Amino acid sequence: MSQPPDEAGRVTPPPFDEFPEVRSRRPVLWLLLVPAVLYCAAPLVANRIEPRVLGVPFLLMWIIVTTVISPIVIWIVSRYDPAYRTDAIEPIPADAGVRTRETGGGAR
Amino acid sequence: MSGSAVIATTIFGLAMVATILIGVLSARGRDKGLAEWSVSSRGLGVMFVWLLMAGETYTSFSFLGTAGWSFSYGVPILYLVAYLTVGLAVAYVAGPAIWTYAGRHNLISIADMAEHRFRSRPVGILVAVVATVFIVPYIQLQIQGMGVVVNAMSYGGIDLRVAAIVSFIVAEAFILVSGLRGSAWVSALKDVLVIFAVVFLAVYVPMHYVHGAGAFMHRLVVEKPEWLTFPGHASGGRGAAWFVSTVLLNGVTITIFPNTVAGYFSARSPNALRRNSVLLPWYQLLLFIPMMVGATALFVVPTLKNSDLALFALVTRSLPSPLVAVIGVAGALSAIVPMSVFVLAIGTLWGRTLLGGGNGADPRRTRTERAGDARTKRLSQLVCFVAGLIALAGSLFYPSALVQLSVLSYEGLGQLVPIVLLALFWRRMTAAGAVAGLVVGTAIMLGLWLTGHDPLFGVNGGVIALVANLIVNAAVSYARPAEAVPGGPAPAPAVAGEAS
Repeated sequence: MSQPPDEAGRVTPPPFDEFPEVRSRRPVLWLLLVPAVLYCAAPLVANRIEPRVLGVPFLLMWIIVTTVISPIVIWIVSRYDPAYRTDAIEPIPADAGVRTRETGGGAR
Repeated sequence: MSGSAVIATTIFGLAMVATILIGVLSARGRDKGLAEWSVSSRGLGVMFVWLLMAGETYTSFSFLGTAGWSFSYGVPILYLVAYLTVGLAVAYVAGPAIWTYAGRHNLISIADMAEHRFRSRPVGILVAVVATVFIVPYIQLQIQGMGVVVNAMSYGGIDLRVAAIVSFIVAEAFILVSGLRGSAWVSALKDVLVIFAVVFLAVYVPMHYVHGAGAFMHRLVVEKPEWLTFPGHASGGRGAAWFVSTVLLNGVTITIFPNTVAGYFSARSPNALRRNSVLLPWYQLLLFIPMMVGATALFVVPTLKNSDLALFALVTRSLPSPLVAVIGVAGALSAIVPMSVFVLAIGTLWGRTLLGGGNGADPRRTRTERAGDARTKRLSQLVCFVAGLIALAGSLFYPSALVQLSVLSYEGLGQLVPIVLLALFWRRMTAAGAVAGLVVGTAIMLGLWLTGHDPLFGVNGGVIALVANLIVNAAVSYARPAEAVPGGPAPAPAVAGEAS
């Protein structure tokens, strides 16, 4: 509980402009495909009961192991992701050229 | 009513009162604006975003459908764990991207985003309507799920319909007053109960019914091998192709579900969401437990008619009533929390985009048509109430009709992925392309379903429709590039010029 959200008074989020942006490429994001690849491989390469691992049928074990590996892979991605390290906003191609928050277009 | 039923009903009643109190009191001292109500002013830290999003993955389906599928089909139920985890990997990028776009332009829903991206209010309205059509059945499903849970935990003492009305009153009471923050707090209560209930079941059920987990696995392999490999037992063609296509479609689609997006918007920083993608997959491990309980029911109550009751049949059969009640309350809150966020999401979709005059990004609109913040919030609350009422009426009068549709929720909302999410990354997408793709995709998806061709050759119909959606979208976007469309992907000068 690093950020108690309900201490006395209002907690205002940091102004949008204070978040940094990342310019570098982020090849480590490709690792995010690992969970999808492992799960989708399950019915194709692991669709059998034997060999059993610790008594658990192979297919079930494959899914359980994938479910444990996935958060570890996502954690590794975050370690090497420049955006995570600086708490940067996500680059949005559709917004290219817009840096500051609009005040005129939004609700006010 | 028997003694057990009285005890269980009393505990249930107290829990519902406590839920309303927690939910209503959570917003005390907060500002009363639209942004606070709908997205908690983007003020929630990692912990609360985690609770909120975890709350939405563990719905009443986890208690009923997960055990039920495991009981009747076997391994096809593993798609649930698979797509939720894949969805969190996708959300590592999609979550902060949606957060960034919405934060930069002051947007509060996916319809709001589409309206701003394409500078067109009709596009926003189309997104709001399509999303609503596929979410209302989902709310009804939660209400009916709650009815089943409460009826079972009270040993039949509480009528299905009474339970449905209670769920409606409780969810609307705190969502109308406290908005998303109320859901986050109730979700905290729910998660404590769910973790307790599920861990307890994990230890107790194998011990009590099948002499430990090892013996249970062995018996499953010897007696029910058909349940342990794809396509499972009598699962109606849920083989490898179905598994892969459904996991991919649902994994991407869940990142733009209006309730997931409400969770994104509530985050204080992009890293609150990225951390969420790191932490939340661990929570999926809990889903293996109702699956195991469902499989246990194969040996204990092999002739069970309603497979949804696989878990509660075991629970009410052997446990003392106070414990049954606690597990039942966990199941009931698992319906109420997602339901509250779903009605809130619909309220937000309609309140600004349809009824409130849009967000002002459409250059064809004058600024004066837009409703003020207070009025937009009132309209949102009204829609929030009406949406819940429609779902309640559906569950009371047409209990099976709309549930059919809820099966299509993911396939339908999947057609919104290009117009809402891909549009942020693909600058050349035009309003005409996005709308044409959405219309074609939705038509194909409904067509396949109505003619009984879903899944087609074992592939989820939603994926086939999404491919057609993308092809049409790309073809139209390239054939008529942005210049031909007023205020295309490049930020319209009229709006960008006002940037401070």
